[in-house]
Amino acid sequence: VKNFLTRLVIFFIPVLVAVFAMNFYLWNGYTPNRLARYARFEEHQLVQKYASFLRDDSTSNYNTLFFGTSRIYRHVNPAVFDSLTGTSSYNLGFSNLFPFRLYDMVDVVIDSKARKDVDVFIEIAPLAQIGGNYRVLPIQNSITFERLEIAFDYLRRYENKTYQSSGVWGRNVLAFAWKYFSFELIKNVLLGDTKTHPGWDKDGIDTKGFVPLDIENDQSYLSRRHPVDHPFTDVNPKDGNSVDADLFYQFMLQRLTRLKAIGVRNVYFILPPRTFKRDRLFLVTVRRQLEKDGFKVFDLSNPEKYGTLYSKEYAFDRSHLDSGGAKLLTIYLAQAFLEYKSQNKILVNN
Amino acid sequence: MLFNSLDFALFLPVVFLLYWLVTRQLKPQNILLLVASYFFYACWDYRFLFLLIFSTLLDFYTGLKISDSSEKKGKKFWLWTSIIVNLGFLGVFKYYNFFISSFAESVSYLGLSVNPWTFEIILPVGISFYTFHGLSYVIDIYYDRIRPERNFVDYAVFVSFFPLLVAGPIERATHLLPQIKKPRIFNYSKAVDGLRQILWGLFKKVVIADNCAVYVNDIFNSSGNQSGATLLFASVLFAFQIYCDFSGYSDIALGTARMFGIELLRNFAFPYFSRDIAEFWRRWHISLSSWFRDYVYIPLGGSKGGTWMKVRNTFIIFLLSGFWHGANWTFIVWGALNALYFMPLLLMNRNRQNLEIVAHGRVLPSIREAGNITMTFGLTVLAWIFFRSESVGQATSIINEIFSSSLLTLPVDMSTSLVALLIVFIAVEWMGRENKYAIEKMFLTQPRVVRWGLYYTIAATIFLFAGKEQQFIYFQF
Repeated sequence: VKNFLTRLVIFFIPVLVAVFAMNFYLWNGYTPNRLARYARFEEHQLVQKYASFLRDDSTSNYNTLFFGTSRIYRHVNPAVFDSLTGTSSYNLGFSNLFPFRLYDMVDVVIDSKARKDVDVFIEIAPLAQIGGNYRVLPIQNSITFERLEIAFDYLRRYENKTYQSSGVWGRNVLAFAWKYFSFELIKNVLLGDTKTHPGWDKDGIDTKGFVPLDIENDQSYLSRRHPVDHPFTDVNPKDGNSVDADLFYQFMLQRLTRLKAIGVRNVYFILPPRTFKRDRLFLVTVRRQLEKDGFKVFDLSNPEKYGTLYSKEYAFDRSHLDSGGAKLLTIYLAQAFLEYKSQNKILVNN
Repeated sequence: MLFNSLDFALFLPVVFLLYWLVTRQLKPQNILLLVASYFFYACWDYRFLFLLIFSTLLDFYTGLKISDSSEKKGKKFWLWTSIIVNLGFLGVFKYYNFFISSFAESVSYLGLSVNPWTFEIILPVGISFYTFHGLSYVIDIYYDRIRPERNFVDYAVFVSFFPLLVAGPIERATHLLPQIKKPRIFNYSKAVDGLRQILWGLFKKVVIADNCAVYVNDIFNSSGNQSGATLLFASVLFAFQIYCDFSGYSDIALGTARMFGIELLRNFAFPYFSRDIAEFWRRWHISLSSWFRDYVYIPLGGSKGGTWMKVRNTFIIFLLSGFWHGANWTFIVWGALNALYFMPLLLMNRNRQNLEIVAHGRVLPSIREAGNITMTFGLTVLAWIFFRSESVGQATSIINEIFSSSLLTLPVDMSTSLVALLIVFIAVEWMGRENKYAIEKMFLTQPRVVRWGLYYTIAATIFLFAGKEQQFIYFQF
């Protein structure tokens, strides 16, 4: 057995050497600095949506921007929202965005655009498991030791069963290795930047960044369609993990303060429906903190008020609505926004 | 826990090290295998672990009772208890909704309306496999082919040994139990061979099957809008997907078991190089085909009772084989179609004419052999269309489109890199067709640097070309 194990270790030595050599080349020879390289990979890879938006000068005309995960990307229809509120909006939601990355992208967009006096809607997103999506660059790029520590802590406290937590830890360690050994980048260098993110527009028609799952260009999404009623989500949850909401909230506050300082007009928050039960206490805790500090949160997750958004009729799968549900959610959001504006006498400056 | 997941990549080394370095005696090793197997299963859903344990206890107990009964009547009672309860579970979890909705549909043709009571139920992973394990065990005891196992741990390892627990191969007590009861000594060559087979299995699953799956899913999900050429290309890719998915799983299972000093039954023997459909069925999912042969076909009379009985029994096992795969008419039509393919060979007594390896000792097949291989593969692809389709209606529409003028167009979105990978894969399989798996003896006599070069190349290909992670197809059965 020892002989077998020794040979196995020897077998992996060249693998490690190759990985380190590739890393050395990537970080020192391939491009002059890390930031440029990241920008390069992001532009051609999974953040095309942002890259296209940033490159197009006409997108500076939008006065309202939506940011979030797929629960914004697949749910908020700018055309419907604009027709009801008179705004000119664009949906910058993106699938699998790790919450830290979400705020990075808000910064990137606001910094890059000449126009800063916009209204920004940001999803209150959970510190989702990063492990399952560790190969997705938007997640990888947002990983730092500090952020992982917070995410690990969150997951560790929730996934308290030994085998579950060991699995989560394993996946997250791999996520870490995947980034810091540059596995995905090595693949990109060797295979070229050929991949594209499917279907962020619909057949070339400008949908202002919104594509519901049931009319995706990528047909493989349809095979995942499984409409179900979402189980009841507690209005006032008691179980779950809120410990790290404080840590995350401190991070959010720093970013929000900065946004205000550079001239963003209003920052609103959206708490979408159909989130996982395990995240509910975290999300509600963040919402309460925001409200306490004077931020407006449009809470569409309340099943007592927005029960239809939890019904099978409007569902695409357990976590997402179909196009009908997305329209309904957008109408609810627009109505709540108009009501808030009229109460607070806020004018939309086009 | 999937074989192609990180969880398994952590689980396997831990169990391997404990097995060979800590629990070196037979009894602790078997206890470790049982605990590891139950943990492996519980990672999917711990609630169904109780079903597995119940099924194991049932067959262990009925096996003892059959053996201990002095009268034929008593033996028969315990045999049928086991069969009814085992098939009852299978029926409830796998077939209840199918039967009840098919019944409602058929009475609706008579103008009657019934609202069938169906339930949303999860199919326990591996239930078809471990049920067949248990059934073969009690049937073998009933026919005095084996003595009952009196050590529960040993028997439970036979049923739930983790490499074969969720998707086979379907083992026999006569083959596996003696290995479980015999002290096992670490064998360096076998362990290396096991790793090599795991590597090849991973390549088949992660590179070929998962990459084919992306294209196949896209095309089959929008089959109504696709040309005949595209549908044919997707159907051919599905043939490779299902082969590489299932045989890849089997390779990983066999390789893993070998690392623990246990040899499992071979499940695939390069079926797409078959020259007729009878040969194909001797090479495809061998453990299931032989199970049906031994426990259904032969007890029904096999081919001893004249032409009519041969035809009847052949149809029965093919239909059962289709139905075993799932509660859908598509699987039954797939089975029936294969029976029809088989029939001319059976009636002309030519079903056992291609027993040796194709082009044995030669580099290339003869033109006749190549023609026969292509014809057999074509027939198989046609049957796979039913297997893959959501309904019989969808399958017939696809076949109609394939045989239309749109066949004479170019398939859309045909990935050249995938086609290149497939060509390399077929070449490697062809070169290794005389072995248990394609790379079993590849470069084995060459210096280490060449051998390891091959392993590094395969590993790098897995790393670079890994498709989107997909569950193993046979998990749903």
